Formats: sequence, C-alpha cells, structure tokens
Amino acid sequence: MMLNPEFRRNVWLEWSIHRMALVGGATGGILTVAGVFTTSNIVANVALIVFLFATVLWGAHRVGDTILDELRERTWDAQRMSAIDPWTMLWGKLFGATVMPWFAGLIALVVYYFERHGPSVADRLHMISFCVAGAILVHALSLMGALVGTHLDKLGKSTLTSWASVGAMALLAAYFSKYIRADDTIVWYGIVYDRFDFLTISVFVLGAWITFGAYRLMCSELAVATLPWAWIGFQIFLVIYLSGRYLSPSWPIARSLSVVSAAGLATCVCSSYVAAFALYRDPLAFRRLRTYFASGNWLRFFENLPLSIVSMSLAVLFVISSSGLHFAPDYSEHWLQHIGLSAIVIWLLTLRDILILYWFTYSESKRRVETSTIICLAMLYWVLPSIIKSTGLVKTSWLLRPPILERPLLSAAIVAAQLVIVGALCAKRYRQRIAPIAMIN
Amino acid sequence: MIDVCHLTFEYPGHRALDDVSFTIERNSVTALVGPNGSGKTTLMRCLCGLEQPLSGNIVVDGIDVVDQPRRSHERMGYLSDFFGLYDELTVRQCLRYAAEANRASGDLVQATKSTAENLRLSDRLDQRVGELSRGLRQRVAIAQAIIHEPTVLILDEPASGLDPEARHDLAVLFKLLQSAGMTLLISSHILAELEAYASEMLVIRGGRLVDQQSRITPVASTRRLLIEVIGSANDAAALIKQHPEIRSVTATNSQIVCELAGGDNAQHELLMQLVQQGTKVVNFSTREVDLQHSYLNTVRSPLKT
Repeated sequence: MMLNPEFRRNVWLEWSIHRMALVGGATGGILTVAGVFTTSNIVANVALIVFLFATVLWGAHRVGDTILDELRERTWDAQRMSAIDPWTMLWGKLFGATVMPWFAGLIALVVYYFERHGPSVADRLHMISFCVAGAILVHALSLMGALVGTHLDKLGKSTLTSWASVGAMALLAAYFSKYIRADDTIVWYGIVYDRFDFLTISVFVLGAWITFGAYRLMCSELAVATLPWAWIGFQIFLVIYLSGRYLSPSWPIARSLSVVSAAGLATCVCSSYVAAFALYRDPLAFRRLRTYFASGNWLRFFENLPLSIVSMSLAVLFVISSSGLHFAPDYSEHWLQHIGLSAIVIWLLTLRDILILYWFTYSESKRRVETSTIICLAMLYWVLPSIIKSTGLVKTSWLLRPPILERPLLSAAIVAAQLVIVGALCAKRYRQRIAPIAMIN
Repeated sequence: MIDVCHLTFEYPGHRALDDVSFTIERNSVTALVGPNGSGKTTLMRCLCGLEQPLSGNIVVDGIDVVDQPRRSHERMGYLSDFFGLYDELTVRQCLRYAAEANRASGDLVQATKSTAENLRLSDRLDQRVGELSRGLRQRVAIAQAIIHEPTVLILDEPASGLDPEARHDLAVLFKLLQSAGMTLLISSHILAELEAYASEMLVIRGGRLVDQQSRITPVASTRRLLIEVIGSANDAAALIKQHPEIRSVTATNSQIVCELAGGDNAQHELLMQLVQQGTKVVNFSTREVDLQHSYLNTVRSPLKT
C-alpha cells in the first residue's frame, strides 16, 4: 500500500533524528524536573500542560503554517493540480505537519498515564482520548482558518486566520472548562449525563464536524465541486445540540417549538455573519450566479451559492415558525420563548448588515473591509442611537435602533426602509465597480 | 487536443478574456504570445482548471475542464511563471513526491530516474533543491510537471531567467517531449526562442485572440523578400509596390521587407525591374516568415471591436 504522499512529504520536512532528540529531550527534561521536585499527580498535571502547549498550540501553528508555506513557496497551485484527493490531502497535512508536536504530546500522555494516581485506568484513558480529540479539533480548526486565508490578499492573514481559529477554540474551551471543574451532571433533552462524559462526546462530535468542514474547504481548493448540504447539516446539528440544553420533555409542544425556532434563528443568523465575514467573498459571485441562472445551470448555481445566503435562506424557515408561534396559545413570558414577530426584524437586520459588508467589499480599496464594516455597524447599533437618545429624542433613535421586542412590526418597517437604502447603495456600487466591462488594454 | 470555445473570464471591473475560441492540434507545440497583461497567464490558468471562467467551454483531451477539473489534471502538466519548489527536499524527494502526487504509472523509482536523465539531473538527485542554481531549479520544476507523462504540457514563461545554454537545452527538451507525443502550449516573451520549437502561434491581445496561425505551413505561393539598397529605401519601396505580385511592403532606412506572390520568375522580374530603374541593390534574398515578424504584424494592427 502506498503511503499518503502528502503525509510522507511533511514527514520528510518535519522529522529528523536531530529534531527528534531535541523535542524528546526537552519534553522529557521538563517532566523529569517536575518529577524531581513534585509529586506524581502534579507531574501528571504538568504532562497535560505540556500536551496542551506542545501538541495543541504548537500543532495548531504547524497546521496553519503548512498552508501558509505552500502559498509562500508558490507550491499551492501544483498541489491543487495534483491527483491527491481532498481527504488524503487533509489528513496528510493534519498529521504530517504535526508529527513533531504529536511526538512530544505522546511522551506527555504516556507520562500522564503512569504518573496519575487515583483515577481508574478507564478514567485515565478517558482523559487521554479527550485530549487527543480536542487536539485534532483545534488542528482541524486551524487548518480551516488557513484554508479560508488562502483567498485573502495578504499571506500574513493566513496565519492570522489560523490563530484566530485557535483563539476561538480557546474561548470555547474556557466555556467548557466549567464542566471539567464541576464534578456533577448536565441535563440534555431532559436526560441527566455526567458532565465530563458529555463534554468528551461533544468534543468528539464537534471535532468530527470541524474535520469534515476542513475537508469540504479542501474540496473547494482542489476543484472538487460541492453542494452546501454539509453547511446546512452543521447548522441543523447546532440547533439540535443547543436546543437540548434548554428544552424539557414536560413542556407543551408550542413552547418547545418556540425554543427550537429561537435557537434555529440564532444559529442561522450567527452562521450568516461567520460565513459573510470569515469566508472569501468573491466579488464576482453574483455575476457568476446570474450567468448560471440565465443558462439554467442549477448545479453550478448551488455550488457557487455563498454560504451566507444559504444560512439566511434556512433562517427564513425559523422566522416563519417563530412568527407563526407568536399566535400560539402556550405563550411564555420568557423572551427566548416568544421571539415571535421580532424574528422578522432580526432577519432583516442581518441582511442589512451583510449588505453593508458587501458595500465595503465592492469599494475600490480592498483593505480593511471587515474592520470598516464593524465600525459602521457599531455606529449604527450603539454610538449614534445612544447620542440621539441622550438628547432626549428617544423615538428618533428608533430610526437606527428600533424597539425590536416591544414593537416588532414598527421595527420591521424601519429596518426594511434601511434595507432598501443600503440595497440601493450596494447595487449602485456593484454596477460601478463590478458589472461594467472594460478591457485590460 | 485542446478546444476552447467562447471562453470569458472576468476580474472585478474588467474582462480579462473575452470570448476566446481556438483549437490546438494533438502533438503540436504552440506559442502563446501577447503583450504584458494581455491575458496569457489567465488563459493558461483557466486551461488548467485553476481559475473558473465566467462562461465558455474548455475541453482538454476529451475532458471538460470546467466540469471535471480533477480528471483533466491527470492529463496535464503545468509550470507557472512563478513556480515554487520545496527547497528543503532533495531533487529525488521532489520527483518522488510529484510522481506519487500525480499518480505516475509504473515503477516510480524508474520514473524518477528516467525523468532525471531527460532533464540532465541525474547527478543532482541527492542535492537539496534550495542549493540549486536558477537553471537547475527550472529543470526540476519541469521534471515535476512531466514525471506523470501528461498528454498536455502547459508552460508559462519557462525560459525566463535562464542562460543561453539552458535555453538551448530547454528547446531540445521540448522537441523531445513533442516527439514523445505530448502537446505543448508555451508562453514566452522571447520570440526568437519559441521559433526553435513552436509550430503554431496564438496571439492574444486585450483578452482577445487576435490571431492563430501555423508557422510551418505558410501560403505556398508567397515568399518574403529582404531587399537592401544604398540610400533611402522609400523610392525603391514605391517602385516595388507597383509590381502586380507584391502583397505587402515595409521600408525602414535602407531595408525593405516585402511579400511576393508567385515563384522564381516573379522574383527575377522584380530584381530586374529594380536594377533597370537604377536602384542600387546590395542584397536581394528570401527570408522565412519568422515569429517575431508575424507577431509584430499582428499586435500592431488595430484591434477589431
């Protein structure tokens, strides 16, 4: 059987006796020093910290760099044209580029296993599997970030993107850390689970999704056309996962549906923002879509559909269900359970914000598009309404920050008017910058 | 072998390729020429499936590149103008990786060896790529592109930065690859060099294909004459234009280049006419239609809209 060529190439680049001795010696040295001055259980904890730094953080950096190196050394086109399939390419990079971090991590985990006293063998293996799954999750996230960065103009953004992914992961870990510290249970869809068991399974499932997401991005890079069903599937997974934390089997159906709709809307809206801001916004995407639409090439049309539009389309379903449930009899006073007609406003606001982002995308300068958009949104959501409100013109401030929950229909009308203005500006800039055809010479 | 039909590619605000259509015959060597920014690299990247065109079809060796880019890659080798190599790997490792990554058929060790021999890299196999000279790196890059024996080889400015000897070697290699059955599309600014191996020429300008011609099949009844005279060439050029078999005349200083329809008799008549009219002819010879001349004629002509 032929070894994965991408994995082997990475091993050629990363692995050497010299480096092995250096990394192994450093890892072993730290753990030995810890062993000399502390107890076994502390050494085990130090081993986990070494694993975190060596495998998770260093590994994430290496995975991000493996894409950056291809771009820097101009070998990415050759890789894109190779016969290596996306999955082979993905795991070749994921494990090939991290061969040294995994070597250090392996030493740390072995030390943890033998030095940790108290927990049973199963519990120790449980912790090790959690660490391994978590590391793969972070590596895959870093690879995703780097793949997204390949479309950005500056190579440095690739590293930035991968580190941003790691940062996001650290925030997620901080959220989950309370589950590790608290030695109790968690209720999900009314069933009681051990918190650490639940967390481990969550990391495994999320890791699988993130790895699959990285695979889909790799498909896109290697010219393997894909339809956006994986993106839709991931959002449905998130809705099901998040709803489980709030739902109770004893609730009436309308109340449960309200929560699912709210969670669905929140998921789709967040996904729309993530897709619009983080993923590559091809300025010609809508020209392509128009061409495919005109020629009836539906497969190409859906393959090229920006994921933010997919999320916004999916969100429409939750807007309809939320709005419909507004008139349902089991009306709850908790705002999450009666978003109702406010869902329409939230959806319109999201669309407006994405159009503002595209308005900046179509500007002459391609730099700082995201930053400019965020500043603009901060002005619209907080700064200007607060200034207007501070002068006593409360109702005037509604023109920028409408009372979404209190007066949803009025808010919808205001945001719709904003949407018309932003849409017109965006269309004008699109016609000026993208649509007119001029020859190079 | 390569069929391009109504290919259009756009960058934001401008059209880089505008309704480009052409056909390249199997086992030919085609020169892709045009001014800087005319769309040569974009065209090559579209042919390789690295860029997605707005509209149009590209078929390479019977495979639709737009619909099935992955399948088409198996038949293609591509060397970009700014190619990259893994500097930390040895030449052997680079070739082995390229062979495996492109699913080269047969014995990979043998493929590595024979490709290295063809590119005269056999004695460099265990040297790190980062230590090689520009010319040798170019050879390694070409070796990587051809190790899986593609049917179509697309090369963007392959000779840039090479010394004359390396360029000569490259020309010999291209002829060798052609004789082995490959179809080559090569872009270059060095037209004299393309002349050594190109049998066809595609001229692209402003994103449009302005000419496609076969250099090896000139119009049978037309020959190109170089006439040198003492003094100004303008009077002689005016005289030459009156000859009924003359198709075009270009005069510069004391040189005249003209296209003459007809055979030896027509050529003899023209010479006699010039001498009888008192023109001091010091050189009167036939010239092959060179690529440079064809190219300049094409790009200097006004662009049709």
